[in-house]
Amino acid sequence: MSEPQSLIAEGVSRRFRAQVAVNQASLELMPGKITALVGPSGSGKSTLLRLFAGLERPDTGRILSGDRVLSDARTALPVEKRKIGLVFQDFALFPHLSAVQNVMFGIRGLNKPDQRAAAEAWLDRVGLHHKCDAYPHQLSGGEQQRTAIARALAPRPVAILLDEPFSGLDPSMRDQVREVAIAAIKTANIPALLVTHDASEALVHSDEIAVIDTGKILQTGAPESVYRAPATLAVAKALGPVHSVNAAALPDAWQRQLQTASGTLWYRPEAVQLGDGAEFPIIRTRLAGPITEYELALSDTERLFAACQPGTVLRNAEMLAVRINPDLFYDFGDGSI
Amino acid sequence: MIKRTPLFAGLSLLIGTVVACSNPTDPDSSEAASPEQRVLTLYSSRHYDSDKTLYELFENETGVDIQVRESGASQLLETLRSEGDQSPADLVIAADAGSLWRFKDAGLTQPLQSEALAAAIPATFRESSGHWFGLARRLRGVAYDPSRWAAEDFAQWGALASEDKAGEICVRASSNIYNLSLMAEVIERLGADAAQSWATAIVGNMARSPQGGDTDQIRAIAAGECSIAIVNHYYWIRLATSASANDQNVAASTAFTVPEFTEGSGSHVNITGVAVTTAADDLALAEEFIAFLLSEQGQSYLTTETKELPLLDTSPAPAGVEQVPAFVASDTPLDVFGENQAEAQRLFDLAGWN
Amino acid sequence: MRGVISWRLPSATALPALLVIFMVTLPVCTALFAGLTVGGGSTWDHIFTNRLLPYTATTIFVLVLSALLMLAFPVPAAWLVSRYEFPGRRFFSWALILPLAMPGYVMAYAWADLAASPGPLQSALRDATGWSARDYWFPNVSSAPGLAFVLASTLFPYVYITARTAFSMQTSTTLDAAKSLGANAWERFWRVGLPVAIPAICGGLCLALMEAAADYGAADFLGVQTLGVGIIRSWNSFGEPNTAARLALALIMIAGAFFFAAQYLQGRGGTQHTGSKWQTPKRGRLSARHSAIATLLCTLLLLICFFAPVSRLIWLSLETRASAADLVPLLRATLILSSLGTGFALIAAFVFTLAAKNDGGLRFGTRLAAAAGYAAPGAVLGLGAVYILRETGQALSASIAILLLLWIYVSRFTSAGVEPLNATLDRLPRNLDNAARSLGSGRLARIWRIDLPLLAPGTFAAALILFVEILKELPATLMLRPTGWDTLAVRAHAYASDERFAQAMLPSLLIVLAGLAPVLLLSWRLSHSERQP
Repeated sequence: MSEPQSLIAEGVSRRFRAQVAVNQASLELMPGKITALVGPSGSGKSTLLRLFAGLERPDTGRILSGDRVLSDARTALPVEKRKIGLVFQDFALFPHLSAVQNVMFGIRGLNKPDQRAAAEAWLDRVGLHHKCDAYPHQLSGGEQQRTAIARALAPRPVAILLDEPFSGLDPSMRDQVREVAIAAIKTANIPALLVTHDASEALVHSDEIAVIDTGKILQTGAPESVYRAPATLAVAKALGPVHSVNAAALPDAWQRQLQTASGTLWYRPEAVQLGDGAEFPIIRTRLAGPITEYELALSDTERLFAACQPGTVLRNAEMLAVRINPDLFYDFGDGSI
Repeated sequence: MIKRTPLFAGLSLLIGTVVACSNPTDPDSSEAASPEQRVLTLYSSRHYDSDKTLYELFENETGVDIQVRESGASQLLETLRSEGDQSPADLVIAADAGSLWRFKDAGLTQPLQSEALAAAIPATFRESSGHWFGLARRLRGVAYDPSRWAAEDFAQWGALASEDKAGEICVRASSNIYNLSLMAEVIERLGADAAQSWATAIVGNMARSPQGGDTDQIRAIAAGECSIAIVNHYYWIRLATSASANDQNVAASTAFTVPEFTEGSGSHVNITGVAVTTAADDLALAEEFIAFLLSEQGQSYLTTETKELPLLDTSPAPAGVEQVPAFVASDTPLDVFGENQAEAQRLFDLAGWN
Repeated sequence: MRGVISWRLPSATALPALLVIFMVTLPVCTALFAGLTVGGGSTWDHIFTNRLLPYTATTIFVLVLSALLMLAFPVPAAWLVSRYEFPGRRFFSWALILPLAMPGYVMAYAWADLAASPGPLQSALRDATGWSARDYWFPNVSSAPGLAFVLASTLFPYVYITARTAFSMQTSTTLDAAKSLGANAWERFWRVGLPVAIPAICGGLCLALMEAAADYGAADFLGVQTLGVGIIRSWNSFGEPNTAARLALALIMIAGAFFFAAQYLQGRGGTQHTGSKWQTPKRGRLSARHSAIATLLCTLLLLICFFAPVSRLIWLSLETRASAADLVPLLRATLILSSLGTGFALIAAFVFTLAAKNDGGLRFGTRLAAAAGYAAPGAVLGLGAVYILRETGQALSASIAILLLLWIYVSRFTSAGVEPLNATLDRLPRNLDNAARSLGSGRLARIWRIDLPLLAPGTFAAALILFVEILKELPATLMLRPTGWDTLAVRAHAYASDERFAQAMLPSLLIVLAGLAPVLLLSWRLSHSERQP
C-alpha cells in the first residue's frame, strides 16, 4: 500500500444536454480528511461525486489521484480500476449476499477464510459483528448503511465517496450510525467526500467544507471559517439560516461597529445576542429547544431576528435589549440576493 | 464473446448427439443406415393405429424398414416442397383426391407404370398416368333425423337448397377439404353459377354458423339443434360402432343417405390414395407396397378402424359399413376435385359460407 | 498511462446481443420479406377484397374481448388475493395460475364439447326444463366471442401473476394514506392500488394478447376466421405460402400495436415502488358477505378456466377407453424438444436482458426483436424457416429440421423469457452496478457475480414459462418436426382435426399434466417469494 494520495478535481465540467451540471469545479480531497460537499439539490454535488468516481466522464478538466490522471476529456480509468469506495443513499447492498459476503465482495488477493476474517473485522469495526450472516432485508436501515460503509472500506480503497449516506436514515439512529461510520472512515486515513444537503451534518463531521451551487464550487475551507466568513450569500445560505436588514435602520452605534450606514446587510441569527446594546419591541417569540428566537421591530418596516439563550425566561416581556457580534454580519454588496 | 463461442459449440454438439441418439421411433439408427437395409418412407395424413399394424405386417413379410411421418396433407406438401429431391419420402398417403391432385400439381409426384396396379384398380380411382392410386373409398352424404325426413328427400344434392330445409342444416366450415371436393364436383356437374347459388341457398338454410367437424353435425341432429347434416359416411358409422353408449344412441337416432348430383349421375365418391414422390428411388418397392395395401389383408387393415369402404365392392367391408345405403359412383374424374379446389373456396366465400 | 483505456468501448454484451437480435428476427423478417416481394398469387386479390377486412376485424374483436375478460375478473381476483383474507385465499393465490398449463387448443376442445348442444351443460338444461335444442339461446363456443372466452381462460394467468405481484409489492403506507384521506376499500382499489399496478398489468396483458394473436389451434378448431386461421387457410386451401406471409404482415401489425400501446402505458406510469425495504402489507379482513363474494369469484374463475375443462378431458378419455399406446415416444420427443428449446431461449433472453441493462442503445432493439418474434404466429416463423432453407439451398434433414425448430422456438419465445428477467431487474436498487464497479468488478465479473445470481429467481420463472410455452407450441412444430418427432401437441391436434376426439384427449391431458408441474412450481415460488421478500 503506497502513501495515501489526494483525490483532485481540476477544473472539471460536465454538461447534460443544455444543462451544465458541473462548471469548472476544482476541489482537492486530502488524505485522512473528510471533505463535505454541501449544496442545495440540483446544485451538481452528486455529479461531481460521480465524476470523482468515474461514473461520469468530464467534458473538460481532469480528475487526479496524486499526480496520476484518472480521467480527462479523452480517456478515463474505468470505475472498477480506480479503487475508490462508493456509498449510496439507497445502500445498494447486494440482496443475494449476506452482510459478510457483501463486505467480502471487493476484497482481492486473499483466500476465502482470510477474506471472511477481514470482512468480519470490518463489520466488527462498524459494530455489526453479530449480523455477519444476516441478509440485507434482515438488517435495519442503519445496519444496512454501516454494512455498505464497511463494504466500501474493506478493499482498502484510495478514497471513499459518500453520496447522501445518512439522509435515508431515521433521525433517531442517524447520529449513532454517523458516529460509527465517520470513525471507521477516519481510521482508513484516505480522502473522503461526504456529499450532503444537511449543513449541520457537514459542519459537525467534516474537516473541510466545499460549497457548491449551480455547478460551481463557491468556497472551500475549514467548516468554522466557511461558516463564519462566507464569501457569498449563496455560501452563507447553504450553511445555515441568514437574515437581511437594511443598515440604515440600525442604531448609530451599531452602524459604527459595522462601519456602514446604508445598504443591505446579512447576518446569522446568533449574531444578535442578549446584551445592553439597544432595546427593541418584541413582535414574536419562538422557543426552539435550547435557544429562543425573537423577532424584533427595528422600525415600522424593518425587523431584526435574534437567536439567544436567555438566562431566565422572558415571559410577557415587551422589550428586549440586544447587542451584536459584527463578525457575523456580512456585506455582500447589493445585488447579491 | 470469447467465453461464449465454445459454449455455443458445445451446445450444437449436444444437440447433434441428442438428435442422433434419441430419435424416438428409431432407437437404433445405425441399423437403418446399413446399406442392405431397404427403407420405405411414408408421408401419411392418416393417424391410425391399424395403419401401423399394417406397416409392421409388411415389414415382417419383406424385411423392409418403414418410416412414417404423419401430418396434415398441407403440411406434408410444404415439407416435401422444402425438402425437394433430398426428401426421404417415397410415398405420400392422403385422404382426399383433392389433396393428391395438389401433390401432383406441385410436381412432387412421379408416374408409376404398373400393369398389376392398373388391373387391380378401376380407372376412376387412379390417375391415368399413374401419379396416384386409390386405396379406399369414402362417401360424402347427408345424415338426417328420420322422424323429420326420409332418404327420398335427399335424392339429389339440390334438395338441400329448397326452402323447406330453412333452419335445418348443420355443416362444417367451407375450408374443409371434404366440402371443397364436394363443391368442386358440384361446379363440374352444375356449373359455377348454379354451384354458387346452391351454396348461397344452403347458407340460408343453416341452423347455425359452420362449426366443428362432421361428427359434431351428427351429434347436433341428435341433440335437436338441426335435422340435416352434410357428413362423410364413416363418421356416422364410427358413432354407430363406438364403445360409448352415448355415441350409439346418436347414430341410432339419425340416418344416412347418399344423394346424387342429378338423377342417375351417381354420387360423390372420394378416395384415400397414395402417390409416389419424385424423390423416390426404389419404384419396385413402392409398387410392391401399394399392391400390398390393395391386397385383401391390406384393404381390411386400411378400413377396419377408419370405416372407409374398401376400394372394390368385392373386398369384405368392415363391420358397420353395411348400414351405408347402396349407391352408384359418379364418373367425374377425381382430378377435378383438385382442379376446381380454388374456385370452390372462392364460391364458398362469395356465398358467405365460413 | 497504464490501465487507462479509451471511452466508447463496445460493451461485452453488445456483440452477442446483436447476434441474437439477428437470429431472433431473421425468420419473421424472411417471411415478411417474402410476403412483400414475391408475387401474391392469383388469390391475393380475392383474399384482399373478400377476406382481409373480416379476418382483421374478427382478430381485433377477439383480442379486445379477451383483453376485457382478462382484466375484468383476474385483476380483481389478484387484488383480493393479495390484499384480503378470505376462505380459500391461500389455495386460490397459487391455483389461479393453473390454467397456464392448458394450451388454447386443448381448452377449445374441452369447452366446445362442454357447451355444445349435445354436451353436458345443454343436456342438463334440456333435462331440467324440458325444452328442445331450438327453444333457447345458448352461448356458442364456436364463435368469435367463444374464442375470446377460450383464449382469455388460458391466458389470464399472465395478467393475474403480474397484477398479483404488483399488488403485493405496493407498500401499505400509500394505501393507509388513501384510507386516512377517506377512501373506502373500493376507492383504494380504483384510485391507488390499480393505477400504481397498471404498468405491470399492461406488461402481463401485452404478453397474453400477443399469445392470443398468435393462436392458431383454438381458432382453427372453433372455426373462427382470425388472421392466424386465414394465414393457414390461404396456405392450405390455396397452397400459397406467399399469401400467408402477406396476411402475417397484418397480424404482426396488430400485435405490434398492442406492444407499443403497452410500452407507452408503461413509460407513462412508471411508478413502481422502489424502496429499499419490501414489506408485504398485512391483509385486510372482509365482511362475511364480501368474503363469500371473493371466494365465489375465485372459485368460478378456477372452475371455468381449469377444473371443468380438465374434468371433461378426463371423463371423455375414460368413457371411450382411449388407448395409451405409443405415448412414450411422443412424450420423449416433447421433453427433449422443450428442454433444448428452453435452454436456447433462456440464453437468448439472458443476452437480451443484460444487453438492455448495460446498453441503453440496445434496449429498444432487443425489446423490438423479442416482440417481433413473439408476435409472429408459429406458422409464419416456420414459413420463414422454410424460405431460409430454400435460400441457403439446404435440404431438410432430420438434424437441420431440429435445429430450425429450436431456432423458431427461440425466435418465438425469447420474449416470454425476457419479461420475468426484466421484472427481476426492475426490483433491484439502481446503484448495485455502480457499487460493484467501485469494488473493482469488471463487466464480465459483474455479470457473473451480480447479474446472474440476482436473475436466478427470474431465471427459474423464465425457464418454466418457456418450457410450458414450447411444450404447447403447435403450428411450427407441425411444420418442421422431422419424421418420428411427433410431439404431444402435434398428435393431439392430428386426432382432434381427424374428429377422433377420444384419442385426442390423452395427449391433451398429458400436455396439461406436463405443463402443470412447472406451473405448480412457479406458483409455489411466487407465493414463497411473496412471504419472504
